[in-house]
Amino acid sequence: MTAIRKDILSDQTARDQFLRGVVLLDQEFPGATTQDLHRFLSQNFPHLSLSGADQPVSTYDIFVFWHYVAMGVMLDVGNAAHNGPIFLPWHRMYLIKFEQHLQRVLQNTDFGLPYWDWAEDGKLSSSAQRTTALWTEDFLGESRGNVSSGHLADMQVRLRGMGGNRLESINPRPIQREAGVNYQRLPRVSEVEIALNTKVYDQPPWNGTVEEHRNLLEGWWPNRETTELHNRVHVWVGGDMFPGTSPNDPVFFLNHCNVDRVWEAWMNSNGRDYRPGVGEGPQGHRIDDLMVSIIGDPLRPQDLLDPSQWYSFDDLVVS
Amino acid sequence: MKGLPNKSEVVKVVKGESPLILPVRHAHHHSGHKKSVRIDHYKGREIRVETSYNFFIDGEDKPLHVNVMDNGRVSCHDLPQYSTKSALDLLRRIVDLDDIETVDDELNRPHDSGHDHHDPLNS
Repeated sequence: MTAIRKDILSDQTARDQFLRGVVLLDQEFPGATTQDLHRFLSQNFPHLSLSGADQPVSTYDIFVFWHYVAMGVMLDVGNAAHNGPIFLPWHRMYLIKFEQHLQRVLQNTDFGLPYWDWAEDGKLSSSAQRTTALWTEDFLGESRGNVSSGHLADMQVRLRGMGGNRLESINPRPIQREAGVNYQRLPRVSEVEIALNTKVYDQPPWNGTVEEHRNLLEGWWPNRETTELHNRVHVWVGGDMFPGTSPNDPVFFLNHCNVDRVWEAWMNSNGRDYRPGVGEGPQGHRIDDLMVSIIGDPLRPQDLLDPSQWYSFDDLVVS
Repeated sequence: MKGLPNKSEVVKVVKGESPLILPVRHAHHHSGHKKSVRIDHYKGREIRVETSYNFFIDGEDKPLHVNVMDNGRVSCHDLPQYSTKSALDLLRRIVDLDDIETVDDELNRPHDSGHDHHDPLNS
C-alpha cells in the first residue's frame, strides 16, 4: 500500500500525524553538529559560509540544510533545485525523502504528506486569508510573529539563510511568520488554471521567462510585477519562509505538496512528459541528471515522473 | 520497519561517510557578481543585454547573485521566490534579511580543529 496525500484542512488524521511527525524530526538529534556542516561546506561549497553557534543539529535541520545546499549549486540556468526545469522533480524527490522519514518516526508506512490547497483560501478577502483555521493552535499556529501555540510551538529554528551566500547558526528560537505583509493575497484558482492549461512542460531558454507549465507553477510570471503560485505562497507567509532556509517552517512542505499535486494534475492531462531530455538543454536539469541529495541516494527526474510507487493524491481537482 | 530509511542515513553525507554526488562534473561555484544576460530577437536581429552589479552595504562588498528578468525586475539567490523593481529595493530587503540577532561565531575561530567539540546532548 502506498501513501495517500490528503488536504490538511479536511483530514484530521493527516493533520495530527504531520504536526507530530515534524516535531519528532525536530527533536531527533542523529549525531551531527554545525561543525560538521561547516566542514562539509568548506570542502564542497567554499562559496557558501556558515557562522555562529557550535551546536547539535536535528534531522529536521539537516533537511533545511539540504535545501540550502541544493540552492548553492549554481548551474548555467538557475540552481540545482530552482529557476529551471529541475524545480518540480527536485522538490518531488525532497518531499518523498521527508515523507519517508516522517513515516519512520511515526512508525506508519501509510502516512502521506498533507497538502494545503492555497487557491481555496485565495477566494477569501485578504484579511480573512491569514485568519483561517490553518493559522490556529489546532493547525500551524500564528500567522504573524513567533509561533507560540499548538504543536509547532515545540519546534526550534537553528539555521537561517542570510544575504550573500551566508548561513547563520543562531540561538534556537520559535518559527516566525509575517503572513500578508509582503504580498497581501494568496494565489487564485484562475492563476492555477493558467498553469494547468499549458501544453508544454518547459522549453528554451528554460529559465524564468518561459510561459510554460514549470515556470508558471514555480511562479516567475514574465508579464507581471509580482511572483505567483508557489513563489507567492513563500512571500505571502514571509518570515522563515522567505530565505533559502524556508523549510524551517513546516508550511513549506504543505505548499510544495500542493505544487506537486498541481504538477500531477497537469501530467494526468498532458502525459508524463519532461523536458529537457537526454543530451539537450542545460546540464543539471536534464531528464537523466542525478539530482543533489544529502539524505539517501540521489534520483533522476525520469525516476519520478510516475510517483505511484510512493504515493497518490486523494483529489487532483484544484478548488 | 521494512522499506523505510534509517536515522543513520541522515548524517552520512554531511559527515563525509558517503560521497556527495553533484549533477554536473564541475558544478559552478559562483561567489556572486555573476553577469546576467538577456537575449531577444527583434526585427530579425538578436539583441542582448549583459548586466552585472557591485553591491555594498556600509562600504562592505556584498557578493549577491542577482538575475535581471526580461521585464527589468531583479531577483536574488538569497531571496529565491521574490523580485523587486530596482536593485536598491533588493538591497533594502537584504538588509532586512540580515537584521537578526547573531551569536558569537564559534565555527570560524582561528586554529579551531573542530576535534574537541562539546556536545551538550552527550555530556
